[in-house]
Amino acid sequence: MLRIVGTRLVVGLVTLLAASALIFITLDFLPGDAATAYLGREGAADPAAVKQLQEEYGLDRPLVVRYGDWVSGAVQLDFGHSFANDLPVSTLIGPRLRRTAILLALALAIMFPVALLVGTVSALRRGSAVDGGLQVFTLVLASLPSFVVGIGLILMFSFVWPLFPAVSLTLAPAALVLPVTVLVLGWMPFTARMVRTGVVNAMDSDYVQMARLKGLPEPRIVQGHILPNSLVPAIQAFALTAASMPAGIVIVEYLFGFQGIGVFLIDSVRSRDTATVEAVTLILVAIYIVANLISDIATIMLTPRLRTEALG
Amino acid sequence: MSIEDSTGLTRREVVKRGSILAVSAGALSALEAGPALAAIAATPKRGGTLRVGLPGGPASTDNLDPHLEGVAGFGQAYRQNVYSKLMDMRPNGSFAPQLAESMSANADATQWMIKLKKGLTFHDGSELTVDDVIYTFKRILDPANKLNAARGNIDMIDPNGMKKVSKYVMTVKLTRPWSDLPAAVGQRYISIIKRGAAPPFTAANANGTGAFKLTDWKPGESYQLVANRNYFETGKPYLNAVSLIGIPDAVARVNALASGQIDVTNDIPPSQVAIVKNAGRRVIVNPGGGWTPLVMNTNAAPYNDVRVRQAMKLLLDRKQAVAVARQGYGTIGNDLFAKYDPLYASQIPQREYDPEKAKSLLKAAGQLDTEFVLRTAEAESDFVPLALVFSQNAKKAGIKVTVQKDPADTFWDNTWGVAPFTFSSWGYRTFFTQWLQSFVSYNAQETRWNDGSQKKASRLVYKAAATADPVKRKQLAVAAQQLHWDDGGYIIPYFKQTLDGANKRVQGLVPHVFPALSWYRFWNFWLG
Repeated sequence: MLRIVGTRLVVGLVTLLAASALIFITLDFLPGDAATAYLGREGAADPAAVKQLQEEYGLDRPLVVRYGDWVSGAVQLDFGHSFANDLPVSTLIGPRLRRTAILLALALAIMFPVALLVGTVSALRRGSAVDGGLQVFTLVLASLPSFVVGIGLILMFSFVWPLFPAVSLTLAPAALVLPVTVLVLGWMPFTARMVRTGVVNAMDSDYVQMARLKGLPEPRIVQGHILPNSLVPAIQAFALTAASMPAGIVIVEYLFGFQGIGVFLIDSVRSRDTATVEAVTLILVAIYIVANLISDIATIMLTPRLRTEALG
Repeated sequence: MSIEDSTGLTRREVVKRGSILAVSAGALSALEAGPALAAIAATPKRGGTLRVGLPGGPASTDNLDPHLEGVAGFGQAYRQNVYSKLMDMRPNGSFAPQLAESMSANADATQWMIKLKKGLTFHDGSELTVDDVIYTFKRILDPANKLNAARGNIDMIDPNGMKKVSKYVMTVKLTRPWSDLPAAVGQRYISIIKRGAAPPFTAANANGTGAFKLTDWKPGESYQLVANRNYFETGKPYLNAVSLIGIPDAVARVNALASGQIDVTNDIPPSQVAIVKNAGRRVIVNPGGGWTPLVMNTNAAPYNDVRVRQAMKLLLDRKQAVAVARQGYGTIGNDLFAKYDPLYASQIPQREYDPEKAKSLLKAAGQLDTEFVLRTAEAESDFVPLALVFSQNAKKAGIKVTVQKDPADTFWDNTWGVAPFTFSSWGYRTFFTQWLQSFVSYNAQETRWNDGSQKKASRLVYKAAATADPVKRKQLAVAAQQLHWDDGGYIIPYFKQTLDGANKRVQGLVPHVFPALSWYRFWNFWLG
């Protein structure tokens, strides 16, 4: 077990390093740099001034040197300074990361049990009207872009029935309801459908057949045999959802004027703020790696075959 | 010549010379008088916090340096309210004294005398004197400080030619004659700071003479301002506080306004007007001095032939351009800029859509069968629709114009200044400052208009800038504009009207040639 986790951690770190290099190179390909963005179109404009700034910030050094410089800072948790206001990047990221983390944590904490419930009910009532209804509902939700869902919710719950604010300028509970709902509705269908498939497969499996033949009561079969086995696909779905999280967050943050890490990332790309883009994307990559690690460990713990292999 | 001449020029000239300026200036004074009179009729109420929704912007670019631009909305609203300038722009685009009591020039506008109002104080309680003004100008003019945009506005001031006459009076020597100095020192970056003030500029050390003090700053996110009760305009500000709130998405800003989470916002997309009105909010239409030119590189074939340039200018149906690209929010342009400057040549006849004449010009130039490529991008919301209107209008005349769409993010780096036929975008500037920006500065690369007629026109402009007599100055400026109208590389289809949205409680918000929120002059605002 420890060996597996250890290997995964090493692979994760290598992924992180590779991602950081890729981001650095990609940003370098974009025309313009922090110096031109800082001076702005009108002020900028003078090539001599751009050159002077580039020299001052070390932007004229070769890519490899700049990257090495950045990595050596990053391992000491020094992500550099912002160009225009000279504030440490970490002070800009801190409060935004905290806000997005709260949003994400709430969304996941609600999404997971809801998906589990919807998927299980749907599978246990396979072929019924309830199952059909839930299937259509999740399919429709999955195919709606989240900004459409968001606009619809704002229209309903901020204007027709003004229950919640239309933009989320604070972390007040009422301000979080709509953005969290949009995220939950965006991510839930995929997980719910995976859970449903898992439960259906488990119900058709030999061991459930065996349990039924043994005369075990149905609730015990569901609790003891079906649910644990159907959790595995759900957990895998969760790990896959983690990959699409940044995109979902960006849309929701723009839609609700929520000052989080997603909006901050897009803004930083526009201002060619390499240090900030690197720091934020690395955090997102790290979250993805950790989410996968957790799901792998959970899968191992839940699967007897893998568990024995890992422990043995 | 004194400042009363230059700022009073609009109305006095209208009276003196009737029809010449009546169109633009007349329309503007009506604009100014309407809401202004309404505001006078009601007695302003005191107190309250104004919540202003603005796009905000990259937290890493947001900054408090009084002489940098900062980010969209925040930067200007902060500098305008926490700091003051010698002069400030009125709703009609002319300049009126702010910290200055008067500015007057010698006969050839090479030497100016600036008198300050007496007894004005900074937020820290110290008195404003000419030492602070000299310190401010020296900081801006020192190339080592890299304040390019600010420096570009006042680079005619000789940094070693400023002299203190008394605590409140100073003289300024210019490196070139410049009769438009009041507008130059009234540009948005020229905030007067306390002598000795130096980076880093923080919320704690922001020290201006403005109507509001900065109490809290979250980069890219919010600014908190409270009233400066020692502000020099009697009785102002009316508000107790102002919150600048960053909401990046335009639709989210409209939602916030409609649901009552903010009191005012700017730059409402025309498609959202109905939503704002249905929610019982007000929409304020600013006359708009901003413009979106199609730019032709006058050095690159086939646009190096003046007949081709003239043909292109005739190939655009400007009314349709306003209707399609601005959903009706704009006034048609005549290939000339600085519409609200008294020097604007409104006597030059309006250029109309004339496909026949365009065809004969192209035929004479041997370019009738040429495929013209117009490069556009979604860098500004009207670039693409305007390109399509142009290509359709040309098609009606049998001229082939292909629209090529480039990526928005790289437009200003890879397309603008490179493609021989593309777009640009400008805010409102007075005639002289815009002339320098368009034909002398680095931005001149957008049309590269540098042939004989440009040189002749620029000589006329410099001469105008050195002429004290307003009538002669105008004649020179009109002659320069005629040369540009005939020969230059700009097609200026329209001036953009911009839309502010406001809660009905908000008073004192009047249309302004600056595109947003009465040029952020929040000291005139109050809540009913």
